[in-house]
Order: sequence, then C-alpha cells, then structure tokens
Amino acid sequence: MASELRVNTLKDAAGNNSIATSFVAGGSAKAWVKFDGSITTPVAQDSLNSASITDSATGSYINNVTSALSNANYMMTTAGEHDGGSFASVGEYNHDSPNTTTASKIQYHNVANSAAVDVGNAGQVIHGDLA
Amino acid sequence: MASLLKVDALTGVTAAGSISVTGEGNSTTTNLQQGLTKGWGHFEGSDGTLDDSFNMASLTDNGTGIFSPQFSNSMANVHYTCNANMNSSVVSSNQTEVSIGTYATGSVKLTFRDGGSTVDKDDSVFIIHGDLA
Repeated sequence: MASELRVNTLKDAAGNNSIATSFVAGGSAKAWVKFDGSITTPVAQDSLNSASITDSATGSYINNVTSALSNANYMMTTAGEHDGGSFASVGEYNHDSPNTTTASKIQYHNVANSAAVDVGNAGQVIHGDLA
Repeated sequence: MASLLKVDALTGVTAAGSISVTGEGNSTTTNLQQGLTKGWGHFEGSDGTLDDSFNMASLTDNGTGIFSPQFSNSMANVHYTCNANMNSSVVSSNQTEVSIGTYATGSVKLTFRDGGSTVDKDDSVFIIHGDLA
C-alpha cells in the first residue's frame, strides 16, 4: 500500500545525524542526464527528470526537463569527455540563450581555441527548486 | 506540529528503491533515491590521497594528472554523470580542463590538464549522480 510520511526532521535510530527534510528535498539533485553528444541525434542514456535532449548546434545542447524548476536561477554543472585527443571540452552556461524553467542549456568549447565542439559522455546535473 | 523521525533506513513501499519527495513548490515530486549524490571526493593530486569522500574505497593514481576513484558501492550502469574540478589558485594557465572518461560501474577516470599538459593538482574534486546497483 502506498503511504505518505509527513515529517520535519530525520535522525538515525540512535538519535544522531539529524537532518531537516528541507535539506533532503533542497539538497537533492532535481535532474541529471548522461548522453552521447557526438552522435547526430543525442538521446539520454540514463537520466532523472529529463524528457529529451535537443541538439541545437555544434557543442550546444538543451536538456528539456520533465518537471519544471520554480525559476531559472538553478545551478547546473556539466562535464564532457576529452574530445578525441584534442585539447579540451568544457561545459558552461549559454550566456546568449539563458536557461528557462524547463530548458537547461549546455555548450562545450575547446579550451585551446574556443571552438564549439561536440562531446561524448556528456553529462549535466541540476540543483534547485522544483515548481 | 514539528515532527521527528528516527530511522536507520528508508525504503519505498511500492518499490524499495523509489521514494517520492514533494518538491519545494508543492506541486511536483522528485525521486529521493535518484536525486541523491552517489559519491564525491576531495583529493590532493600531489600525493594521490583522498582527503574526504563519500562512497569511495580508494583513489588510483594512473600517472601524472590521471586518477581513478574506486567506488565502494558500484553504480548500476556506466551511464551515470560525473563532474570534476580543480582549485583555480594552483593553475598556471587559463586553459584548464578535467576530462572524464572510461566510465565503469566501479570507477571513473579523471584527467586533469593545465595548458594542455596533464598535471597533478591539489584540491581536486569530483561528484557523481546516477543509479546505484
């Protein structure tokens, strides 16, 4: 039977390691996704709260989240695999096309020459408040 | 009324590995287990030791700037996410990079570069999200 537990604080059975449930909700990742950005149509290989991946340009992707964030001021981190022995790939926010509550945008650049690059093993994690 | 629950383990009823938590906006839920960080570490590249960590058994030093954290509890598959970074105060160029590859269920390979060359960096950090086995 499904059940619902309403509680403000969690502790272990010995009464130690107290944590407010607000930290459990607020501190948990609200979305994460792993995908191969080097293929023509990237799809999530595994994810939480990710509906799809949009390949918007070379090195640019959009993680379309299923359940919206409450605002666009959430935090995201990204990573991408070093690109075929070339210099680097760095994931970052897209300044020119800001995130929205349902679309989190990632772009990867070669650190050596700033050129946009598609990357394999692309990943993103989002922390913030759900709507 | 304030409430306090003392418990050592949380398990879902319908599915043991799935507990819903109501989001901050009170309108949606998120999966507790899937949202939790499954591993993290802070280490010194100069001596290859973990200063502090969660779910890490050890750190393998594969050569200059190349490290493989070894997980205590394995991931369910190789499609988890890993993010890593280094202390900017110890880099010598504006071209720093952490490449993350060779995803395995029990480890992941991190390669730190500064100005194109692999380097051992102190205050190196990484964090993992995904599904535990």
